Order: sequence, then structure tokens, then C-alpha cells
Amino acid sequence: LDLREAKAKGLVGERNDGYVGYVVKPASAEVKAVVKEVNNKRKAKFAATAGNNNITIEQVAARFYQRAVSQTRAGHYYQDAGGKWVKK
Amino acid sequence: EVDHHLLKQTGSAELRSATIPFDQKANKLSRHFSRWPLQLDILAGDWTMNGQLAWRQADADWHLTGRLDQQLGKLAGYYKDYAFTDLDSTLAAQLTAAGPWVSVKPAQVDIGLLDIGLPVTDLAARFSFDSGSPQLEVHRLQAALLGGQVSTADIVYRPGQGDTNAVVAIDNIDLGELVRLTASEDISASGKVSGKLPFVIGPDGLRMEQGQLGALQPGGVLAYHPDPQTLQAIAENPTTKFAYDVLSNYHYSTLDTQIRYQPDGWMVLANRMYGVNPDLNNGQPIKLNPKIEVNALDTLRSLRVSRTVSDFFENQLGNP
Amino acid sequence: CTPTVQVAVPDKPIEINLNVKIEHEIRVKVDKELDELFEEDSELF
Repeated sequence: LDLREAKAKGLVGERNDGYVGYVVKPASAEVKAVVKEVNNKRKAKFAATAGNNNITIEQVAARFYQRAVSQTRAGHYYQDAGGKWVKK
Repeated sequence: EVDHHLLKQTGSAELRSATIPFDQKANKLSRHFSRWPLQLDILAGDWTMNGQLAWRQADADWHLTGRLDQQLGKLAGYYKDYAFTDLDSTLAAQLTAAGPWVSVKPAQVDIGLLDIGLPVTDLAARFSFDSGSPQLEVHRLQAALLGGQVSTADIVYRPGQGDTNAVVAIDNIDLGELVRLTASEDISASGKVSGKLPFVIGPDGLRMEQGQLGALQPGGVLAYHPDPQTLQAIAENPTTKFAYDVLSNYHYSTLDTQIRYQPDGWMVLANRMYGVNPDLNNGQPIKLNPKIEVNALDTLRSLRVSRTVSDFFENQLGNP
Repeated sequence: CTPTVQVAVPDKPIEINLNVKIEHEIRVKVDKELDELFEEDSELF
């Protein structure tokens, strides 16, 4: 199972803090593994970008979330600013 | 319609004028595929295809020959953060027995509006290709940009086989329009420039050594009025202050620019201007040589970032 | 005749060299670095 399949199945979506979150709870062990791996890699990338531009990781993650929402494909989920899961 | 002759191991397939219409709702290109990988979507227009394919087996391998005629009509869509509308194209390609797809006659692409950050309009390209060698030959490409024209011709691009020259001619580009769209509001300019940009397509991308632009008669005016803080900072240093006094109302009669460009987008514009500021030293002539370093790709990207693709389509196609 | 005041305009032009480097706001740089996360082959989006 990869992130795109999990998204296509509506199990996970783009959280409003720039990371992947569980739409369906409780999540299976397999889904948890994918989410954990993706979020760790994203965090590393956000940290590197933050360092290069001397801004905070949260600012980088926030910018990522903005772009993630606009590029989320039809049928996939994202969290609105209030934290509610929305299906595009 | 497919028929295949088992014994003779030959067969052919016929695809007759299958037309696919696109729109912004159900018929978006991305909706036609369950896992649509590309950040490309087509939201309007239609795609017509005719094709014949024939195959036969000879000494254990299959020989495929065929022809494909493709017609794109009034397509609108986007790839990543580039958007386009009114894209028409005809393309006829033949699959020769030797294997590669070769264009039968020069393919043609016309784009009404291509937004790369700056609006490029009336783009017309004629090209032919041979996927075997592989080779792409651009017979002619021209477009309207910033009130002027950009054009290039006879480029033969063979990926992986050394450099390819692509001289781009620039005609009547309006400096005022360029500055208005790319620079901050503190600066305004007027005047038109033309010239030659000898690009080289190399393994690591596009580069240029001796790009050359010059202003057309009668020249134009540069006016820079920085915001108070910047002005305050400038005022502290007398030499820079004088330079910025000149720039507040500089009427130039000649402008010559040498341009260098690197694959990462960094560009150096060495400008030499001759003119006068009527408010200074009773109009004593002033040679002004501003050397400007700017990243062209970042500039275009920051213009694209400031508008989302959906707003673009809202005003181009009306909201879905 | 009316006296005309001749102001000698210094003919030798002043020459000014100016170096301007245009740096783009951080957002463009951040976006450039985040691009790879949105590439087709990245499994992180």
C-alpha cells in the first residue's frame, strides 16, 4: 500500500499542519506504517527547507499545506482550517 | 475495429475519428483515468484521433507499422502551474517498419494564450520529429510577448548529442510593460527594445553568452521613486544618492544591453545608457550603466505563484 | 535685444555605474524546494 492508494481509498488525507492524517479511525497497522514513514520524510524535508531559508519548520509546513490543498485530486480528502475532513 | 489472422499471424486495427470532448466538470482529462499521475489536466476543447495500425510476425518478432492522425481543437488546461487556452494542433505520425514514430508532415501547434507568469499570446509552432534518432526539428516558432514579438527558426535538437544553437529574435518588446509586470511599483520605464538572443541548448539546459538588445529610437524614460525607508537608506551614501537622483527622471536616447544566461535561471544584464535628467546639472549628459543580476526563472515563478491556476480559469473560461 | 544667459553645459558626460541584484522573496525559494514533494514520482504527496 502506498500513500496514493491510501488516499484513493479515502483512508488518509492532507492534515492542515502539512502532514498526513487518518480519515478513517482506527487505522490499520499497514496504513499507520505508511503515514508514519511519509510524515517522517516530510518533516526532514521541511526542516532542511526551513534551514536553507532561515524560517521555521511550521512556516514551511504551512506553505506545503496551502499547495497540498490546491493540488489534492478529486475524491481525495484534506482537512479545512477548522480541522474538518473535506472530500474534494 | 480489430481483425487478426491467426494463421498468417498478421492483423490490423482501425481507429476512426474518436472524438473526446473535455469540460471543467465530469469530462476533465483527469477524470478519464482512475490514477491520474500527471499534474496536467485538460478542461475544455476536444481531441480527435484517426489511426491505422498493422502488424505481422516475421522470424519470431512482430513488425508494427501504422499511421496516427491527431487533431486537438480549442484545448484549455494546465501543466503544474503553467496554464493555456485555445490550443489547436494537428499531428500526423507514421510508425515505420524500422520502429520509430516519424512525423509525416510538419506538426503544428497554435496556442491563443500561454501563461508562464507572463502572458504569451498567439504562439505558433511548426515542428517535425523522429523518435528513432531521436530528433526534434523546430522549423518556426513565434509568439507575441510584452507588446512585441519573439521568434526562432530552424532548430534541430538531438538530445544527448552535444549543443544545439537556438537564436531567438526579439522585436519591439515594450520595456514599460516588462517593468510593470515584473518589477515593483516604485519603478516605471518606457521605450522599446529589439535584439538577438543566441541561446544554446546543452546537456544541463539553456544558456547564453552574448545576448544583445538595443533600444529603438527615440529611447525612453526611467523613473524610480523608492519608498521612504529605501530613500532614507540611499540618502546616507552621497554617491548612491546621486545615482538615484539621476534615476528619478532619466531620459535616455540610447540603451545597449549585453545578456548572459545560465541554466539555473541566473541572468546578468549589462546595460549602457546615454541620456540626461532634465532636473539635474542643467541637463548635463549622463552615461548610466546599471548592471542587473536577476533570476529569470524565479521571477516567472513568483508571478505564477501569485495567481492560482483556478483563478486563471475562472476569468478565462468562466467558473465551472 | 534681450540678454541671453548662456549657461555653459558641461559637455563631458558624467558616468555612473550601478550594480543591482534582485533577490526573490523567500516564498519562491521555499516553493522551489517543496516542488520535489509534488513531483509525479514522489511518494510523499
